[in-house]
Amino acid sequence: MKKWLTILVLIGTFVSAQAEPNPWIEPPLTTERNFPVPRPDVVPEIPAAHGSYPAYAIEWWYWVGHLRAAETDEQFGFQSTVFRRAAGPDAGDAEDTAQCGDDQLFMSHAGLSDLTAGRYTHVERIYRGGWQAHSAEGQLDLAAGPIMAMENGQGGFSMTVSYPDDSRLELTLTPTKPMVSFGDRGLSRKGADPAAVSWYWSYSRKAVRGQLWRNGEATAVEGVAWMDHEISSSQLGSNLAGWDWTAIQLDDGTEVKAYRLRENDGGMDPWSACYWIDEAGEVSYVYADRFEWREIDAWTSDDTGLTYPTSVDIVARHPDTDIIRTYRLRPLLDEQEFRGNRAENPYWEGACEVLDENGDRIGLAYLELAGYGGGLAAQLAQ
Amino acid sequence: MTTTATRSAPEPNDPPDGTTGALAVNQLRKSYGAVEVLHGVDLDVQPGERVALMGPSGSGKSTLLNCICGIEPADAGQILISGADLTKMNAAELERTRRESIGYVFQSFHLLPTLTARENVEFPGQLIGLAARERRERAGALLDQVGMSHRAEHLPDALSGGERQRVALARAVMNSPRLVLADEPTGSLDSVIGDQVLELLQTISDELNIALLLVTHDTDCARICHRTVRLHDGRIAKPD
Amino acid sequence: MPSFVSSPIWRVAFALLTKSTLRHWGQAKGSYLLIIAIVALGVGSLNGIRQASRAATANFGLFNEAISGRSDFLIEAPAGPIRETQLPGLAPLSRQPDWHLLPVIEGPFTQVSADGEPQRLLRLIGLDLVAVANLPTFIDREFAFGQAESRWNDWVGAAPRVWISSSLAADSGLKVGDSLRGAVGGRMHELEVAGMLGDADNPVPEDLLIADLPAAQAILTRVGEIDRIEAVVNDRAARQSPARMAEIEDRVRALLPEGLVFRAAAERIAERADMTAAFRLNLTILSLIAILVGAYLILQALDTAVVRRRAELATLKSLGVGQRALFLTLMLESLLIGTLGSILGLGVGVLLASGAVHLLADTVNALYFATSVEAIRMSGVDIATGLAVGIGFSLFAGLLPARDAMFTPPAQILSRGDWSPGFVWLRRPWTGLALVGAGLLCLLLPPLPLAGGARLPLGGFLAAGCGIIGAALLSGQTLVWIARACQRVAVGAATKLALSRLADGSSRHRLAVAGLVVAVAMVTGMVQMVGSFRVSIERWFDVRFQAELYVSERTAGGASAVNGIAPEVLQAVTTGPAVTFADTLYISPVGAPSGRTYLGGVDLGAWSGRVAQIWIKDPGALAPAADAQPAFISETFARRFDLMEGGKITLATPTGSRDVTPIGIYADYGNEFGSAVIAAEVWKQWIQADRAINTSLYLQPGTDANVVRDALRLRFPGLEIRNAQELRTLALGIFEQTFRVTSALNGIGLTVAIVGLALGLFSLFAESAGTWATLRRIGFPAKSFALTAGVEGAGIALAAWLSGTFVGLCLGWLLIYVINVQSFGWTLVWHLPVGAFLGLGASLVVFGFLAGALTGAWHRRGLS
Repeated sequence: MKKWLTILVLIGTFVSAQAEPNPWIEPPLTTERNFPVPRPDVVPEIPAAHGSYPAYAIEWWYWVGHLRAAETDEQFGFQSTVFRRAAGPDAGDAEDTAQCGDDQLFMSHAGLSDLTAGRYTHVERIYRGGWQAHSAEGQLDLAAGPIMAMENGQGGFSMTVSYPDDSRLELTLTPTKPMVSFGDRGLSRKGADPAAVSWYWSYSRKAVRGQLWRNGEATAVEGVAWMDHEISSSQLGSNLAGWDWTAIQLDDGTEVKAYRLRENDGGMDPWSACYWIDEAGEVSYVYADRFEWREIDAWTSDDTGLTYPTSVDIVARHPDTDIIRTYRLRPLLDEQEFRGNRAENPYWEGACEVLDENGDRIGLAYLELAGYGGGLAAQLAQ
Repeated sequence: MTTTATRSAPEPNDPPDGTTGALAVNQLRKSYGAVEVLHGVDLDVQPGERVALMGPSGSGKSTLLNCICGIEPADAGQILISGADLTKMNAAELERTRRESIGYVFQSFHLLPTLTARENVEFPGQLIGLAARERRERAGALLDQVGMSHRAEHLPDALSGGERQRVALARAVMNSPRLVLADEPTGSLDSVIGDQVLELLQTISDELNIALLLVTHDTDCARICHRTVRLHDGRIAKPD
Repeated sequence: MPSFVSSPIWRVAFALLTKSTLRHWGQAKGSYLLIIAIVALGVGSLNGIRQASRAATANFGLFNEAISGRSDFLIEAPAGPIRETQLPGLAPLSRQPDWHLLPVIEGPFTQVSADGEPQRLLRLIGLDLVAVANLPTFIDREFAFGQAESRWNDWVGAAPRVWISSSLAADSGLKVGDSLRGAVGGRMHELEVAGMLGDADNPVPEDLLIADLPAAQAILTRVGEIDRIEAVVNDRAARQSPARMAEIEDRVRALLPEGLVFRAAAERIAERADMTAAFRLNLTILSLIAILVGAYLILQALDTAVVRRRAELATLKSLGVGQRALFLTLMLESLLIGTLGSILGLGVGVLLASGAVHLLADTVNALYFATSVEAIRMSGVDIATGLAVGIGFSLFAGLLPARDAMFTPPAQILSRGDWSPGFVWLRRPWTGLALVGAGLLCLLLPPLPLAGGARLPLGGFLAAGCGIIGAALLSGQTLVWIARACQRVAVGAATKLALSRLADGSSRHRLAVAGLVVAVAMVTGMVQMVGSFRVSIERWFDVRFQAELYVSERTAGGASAVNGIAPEVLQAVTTGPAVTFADTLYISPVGAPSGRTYLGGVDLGAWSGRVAQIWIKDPGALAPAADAQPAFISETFARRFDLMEGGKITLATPTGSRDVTPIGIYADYGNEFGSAVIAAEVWKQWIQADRAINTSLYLQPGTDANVVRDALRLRFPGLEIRNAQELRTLALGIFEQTFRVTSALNGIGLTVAIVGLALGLFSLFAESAGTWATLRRIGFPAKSFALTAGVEGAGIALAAWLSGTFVGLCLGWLLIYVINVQSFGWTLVWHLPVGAFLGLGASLVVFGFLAGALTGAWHRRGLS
């Protein structure tokens, strides 16, 4: 019996070892280019966590949200992203006060989906750190091209995003749930490369109020938003062609975040993950082996000719309840393709509704489909 | 000499009705400065009649001719071409008269050097606005009549003196004028050719009933004319 | 087809055109091709000058257009540069995605060869090489500075690296990684060639150097400064909508912070165009004069053709073709000549422009601002202008021959003997007298102010035009007087015959004289002006430039090709042991009540004493106004701003509006916008700069200036150091350069007039065929024919030279005392190059004789 028990334990150990396809990989202190790599077990402190980490190679602040006009039926979706890229590992040594600096590069992407009129507006700008773009340390004070965001002194952020034809959004975003930190020991991993980790801090739900200015007239809007702030020095493994990512805000007050890292050969990278955030802000997650990303339908862009799987079903087994959940994402507007200044790297980022198995709406989501026009890995590798 | 059987020819002028002559000059006077060249000249030419105007140099023949075709204004008197009084016409009317009612044959031919023989003949028709087809037919008939059809496409440079004068003759009658003025038409030609040209003048005058006033100092030329008028010191001499 | 075309007159005219005129053309192809060529040359000259001057002055300042595309707006400081510290204030403006803001700095960079000789002047432009990648044009043209975005900072920053044009690279044999050596502000630099820009499909100006903004600031030693911010509207379709652009302009203005001014780019182009307005207008007027003389030639040529066809015209008259029909036929011929010549002239214009553009660009460079030559372009306006001018002048020139033709008597009259058209009006002096009178009245007109501060002496030009033509019409009488005077002493049958014909003063003789008088007057007047200018400048040099050595930045030349001498370099130069005194000049453009002018900083005390000047008003002669900075002002400045008797003027400087008051007026032929000089220390405060433009060194007595010069050259290879003689040679070289175009046009005008004389003589003799025939019958020898014709030609030339010289002297006075003063505001010393005048006269008389003799001999042969 004892022998069988030993064998069973051994077999059990082996099986349980096999059942953990995403073991902990200790990240190095620096990347090959000597950028610091985010450390594990770092607890983000407010407000410094909102500010910039200039020594790290790559950083972005990302907001998506769903708005409705307070007095009409109009509905909107918005996406505002500021990317920062450091010139070199010494970029964060001292503050670059030059008006045309050469330490940091900023790229801003602003998209606005008018879901009622069926119109999508987007703008990209690239600036060096200086008078046209900056990100302060210690708190959120960010400006890059058309996007400006800062602490408003009342626990939230104020954000102004300018669009073509003198349109702009002026929003106040106030977290309604605590900030979450994704990943094992506070590190979100995107690949097997030891340095492929990031601090990934999000507000999964923020109340939004503000105004949308169009043709000199303001429309009061309100809604809900999601914010990500990610800091790393190396992201994707070179085996990756791109990613599909979604932030789901369910009507029951919980959120789901999922992303599929697509390998060059078409498979799903094992570090793909699905996260649940409950009402209290507690996070549970599974990796690729415990959820599926099913492409249901696609849309082809007339401008770029690229085809995006914009209707997807995410089927995941909740790690705590073991219940299989199905989230059906359907785009609220087909044409939400973000095309930058050059034709090199368009992606689809759009507002979606979330349906359950029965086809009933259970929430809203933003879906991002990147890398369908070419390899993004080189863009984000350091 | 060919006849006009095969092509349409200009219509002969109406026979005289006894009241309207082709040319009537009454008491014409003309001076150059203090010198009076024409002293009250009277001259009548009936339609179809051929009159030779003779006289010594300086008698006023050229002046009389210039007055009759309206180039020089008369000081006094009357010049009637088929009843129209030239002395009362303005410059435009005189030009029109020269185009439509008077033909002129020069001693030195005066063909237009860049036009072919046919084009030279057609030219007066062009001036009065004849349709192209009619112009061509008429000119063709006239060239036939003067024996120049075979040289119709040649430029004047390529024609002999006699040939040029034949073309000039055809040109002069293209518009069926009432009156043809010929100023020494054979003066630049040898006698044989000159005779041929005179015969043509006679034939055309008969067939088309055109009056002819022929200025010449050669009595031989006057043989084709019905009568001779002599101008002496600016006056018409009484017939012998 | 219009109804008039079927009317009898038009019908006859078209018939004559096709059957007679064009066939004559076929028979005399050479003559008609020549006439068409004359029209083409005239149109080509006018269009060529216009296109060349446009191309030479178009591409100024906004050199980066090839990279960033056409800018729509500019943001500038009211005076001087923008400080970088002002940029954050523009951040709200920068955030708007409807436009892009591009800070730009630029300056001259003199490429220097391995042995230190300046090779060429390049334009260094500093741009934000990251932000420029947002611009639609930049994206379209697929420019790229770096190889991959992940290493973006490798090619930006303050390190001295530049991108050069492919054509410069090919020309200089440079490749990526090589070193480009050159001088800025007296200092030498080695710049790394980081890449090439442009190709056949996307050309960039050859002399363009692009650097990242911080790098350019460092090279130009202007850290923290920006010249302007260019705004490019993102939606290119919006540019076509004035309403959209107006809306964008309003938004930009609303967001513009204090201390910066907004300017539409078109204004800047207009401002630069205004700077050269007077220069270009002068050129255009000169080319119009060339056309006028060309029209005279066409007139002569067409008239010759009429004379040749006289017998035919007489026949037509006798056949009953009316006067109006003949007139119309000749005018249609002129129209055809004008049209064909104009079309050909458009192409000739492009060729001439290509040849002249570099000449003009050199002149603009020397006098006004640095410019880079743009490709010659023919616009719709050029085509319309060329056709209008060519056809217009041909019709104008054809009027007289057409009139001549319509009055041809019928053949019956013509055969009597020689006949010539009356041109009665040429014999009547009233037209000429009226024009001369009108010209005198025009002198009373004040100058027309042009935008930018220049002035057009409209009255002067009108007076010159009326005077020349009026005098030309009266000049026939000169011919008659000369001939009658000479008749008394003439010997020989041929000479007496010629003089009798001249004394008769036929209309054709008068016409021939009139045409030549215009050209002689023009040349004489211009020669005086250029000569007077030269003498004045030499005199100014003798007085003003007394120092032993002259130091300036090393540059390939040009009015704004200066960055200034770096202060530490200046300090080292002026405190050398051999130097007793340095007259240092600081200068900066400043805003004036109308347009711009220059403010200088000098040692005022030295200027009142040891530094010699030609004083128009001595120091102290003018009472200074209260509360204003005392200044010496140039004569141009004084006339332009009405300060000849003193007063006060407010100038816009980088530190605000400042008042200056004149205490003396000096002569200065350096620039036409005027300058005022104040105490150097005050200048530095006002302008917030400390780079001198030049310094003149006075050395210890007995010092060998050339030894000091050579030592300084060795020590400061970035500086140009010349002794007095070298400076004089340089300045006079620039002077010669600026008048090259004038000389060329003079040459064209004179050539055309001489050919016109030959044609005029031809017509003259052709109309005398009867006379020649008679002379031949009575045994007039062939040699005597030539002599008679030669004396006639010489007589016409002599009369034209005498009349033309007199008129030219008046024109010279006008140019110097009226036109120059009103245009440029400076007084010149009137200089009469008597030798040149006499030489011109002798040449004309000899040529007139030869032309006459040859033409006469040709006619004589034709009688055989």
